[in-house]
Amino acid sequence: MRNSVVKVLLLTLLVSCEHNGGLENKMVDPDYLEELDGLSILDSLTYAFETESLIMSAKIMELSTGLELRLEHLDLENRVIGYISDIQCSTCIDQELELIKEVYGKEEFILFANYSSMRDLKLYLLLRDFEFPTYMIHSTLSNLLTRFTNPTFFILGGGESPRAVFFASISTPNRSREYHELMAHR
Amino acid sequence: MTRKTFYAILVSTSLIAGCYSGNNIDDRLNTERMKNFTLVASSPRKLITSEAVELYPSQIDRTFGNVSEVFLNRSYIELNTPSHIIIGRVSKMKMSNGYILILDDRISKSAFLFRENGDFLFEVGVQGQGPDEHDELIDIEFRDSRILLMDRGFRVSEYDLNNRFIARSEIPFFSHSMFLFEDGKMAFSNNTTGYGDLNYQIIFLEGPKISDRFLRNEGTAMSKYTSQPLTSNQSVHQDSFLFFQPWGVDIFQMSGDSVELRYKIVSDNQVPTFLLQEGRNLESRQHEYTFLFNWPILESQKHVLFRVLHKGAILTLIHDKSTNKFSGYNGISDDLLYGGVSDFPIYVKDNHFYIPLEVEQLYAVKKELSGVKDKKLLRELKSARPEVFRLLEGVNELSNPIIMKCEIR
Repeated sequence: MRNSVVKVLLLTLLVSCEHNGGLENKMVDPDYLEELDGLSILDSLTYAFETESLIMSAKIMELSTGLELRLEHLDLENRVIGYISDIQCSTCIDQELELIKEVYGKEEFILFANYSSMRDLKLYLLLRDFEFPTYMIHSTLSNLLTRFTNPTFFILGGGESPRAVFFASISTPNRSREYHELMAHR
Repeated sequence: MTRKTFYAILVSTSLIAGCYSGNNIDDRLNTERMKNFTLVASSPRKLITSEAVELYPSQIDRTFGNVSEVFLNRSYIELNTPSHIIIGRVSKMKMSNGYILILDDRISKSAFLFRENGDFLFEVGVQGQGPDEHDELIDIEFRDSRILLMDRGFRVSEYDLNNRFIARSEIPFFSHSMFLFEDGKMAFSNNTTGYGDLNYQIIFLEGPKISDRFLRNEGTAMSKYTSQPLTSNQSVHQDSFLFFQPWGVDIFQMSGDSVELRYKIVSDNQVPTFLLQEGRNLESRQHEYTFLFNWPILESQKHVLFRVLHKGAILTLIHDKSTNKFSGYNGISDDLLYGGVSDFPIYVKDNHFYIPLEVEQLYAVKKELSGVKDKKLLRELKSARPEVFRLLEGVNELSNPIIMKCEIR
């Protein structure tokens, strides 16, 4: 199962794109080539992230209460974890938050956020009626995760290593929807 | 190579690839959009260089400024809104005829109109993808008694002061900043790439005609980083604006028919042309060079404020026009509000400068003060800093930003 969900999804998409492109037009669409390049990089990133363990003893802060706790105290099993930060494109985050609200039940998703201002994060989520459990995290939890400049999604599923990693992009909303729907119904 | 280094390289590579991929798609979009516009031969502009002030950053003493000493005659504008209207950050502000227009491009992603005393009037227009709506605002402006909003959809939407949608203009390029001339022409900073002749920083637009352009890029890669705001203080500049080229050392004032070089930073480590053309190593090597840093240039009758990256340090410079002396600041220390002022002004009108305060820090101060049990100490603090205590009364965790109005020493 390791990484298989995302890989199957990506491969299906690639095969589908190639098949359609071949039938309709022998010219290679430059956007398609860019997408292929992007996918191979994302695949490498996925591998890198999946081989890094999250630090389960890292301190996190519950946004709604301001209480500090450790990652290991959260019930993460069967939950999809999202990661956003204030260095990410806010349009990308908006797109994902809307999908999350639409697709997941309240017990199925939690959000990790790395924002320099707690006020900004609170306002941001308040204005978007986002009511899922949200935790402020820092690089102590995962140095790699906090460098990601796209909203990132994964599951832990009992272990410490992320699985089914997905990097969301504003240019591929359908791929985001497919991922979230697949994860919500897994 | 350690595993962490490998991953770091992967992350960096993906970031670079992501950026370039995005730009290429933008280029094609821009090319498509250009079909709706006509390029008209640019008219020659008179370049005036005789009055330029030369600045030698290495000869300027720097200090860490104290708010109480640098910003004088302080007063505060509290932005009062109904409870359902929340303003996250003041990214940009404009003032005209007793009104304040605020842009929050990150949190609420909207623009708001206030009276000059901070009384709320309305959120401008409606967010969305519809024909009368705006999406992802980038810049705001007043023209006569109209409000203009520029968004990421290559549109400038006009509203009147009753919040009625008036009109919409298409713009050919992605831009970060606009200026409106009295005759209706619009100037945009432009970061278009990949369209042959159109790699310029300043574009003039008159209806569908792209008429005058200025300052061709030395390298096409350079235009990818254009985001400099076009700034103007009407009482000083009348119908003209200030701007600088990305990675440049010159500050220009541009009117309808002339361009004046106002400031020239003299340094032997300017960004070399080959690096501008190459583009992609610019950001990683920026600390090696001296250039104007991305911050609004603010000019009053008495002062000009701008920012330079010099030998890896960000230097804020204030030019006193009457004495022709420069003050250099490595940063600002808020000895008055305990952190409410975290940076230099973002806007100037007439002789007043405006700084949005950090509400989160003010709230932290308020919480800390509420824990002080020594009443005598509190009384002393209150009498020493009455303006702070007045401000703190209205501050809570999610308060709207407060704007400090001040003059510069």
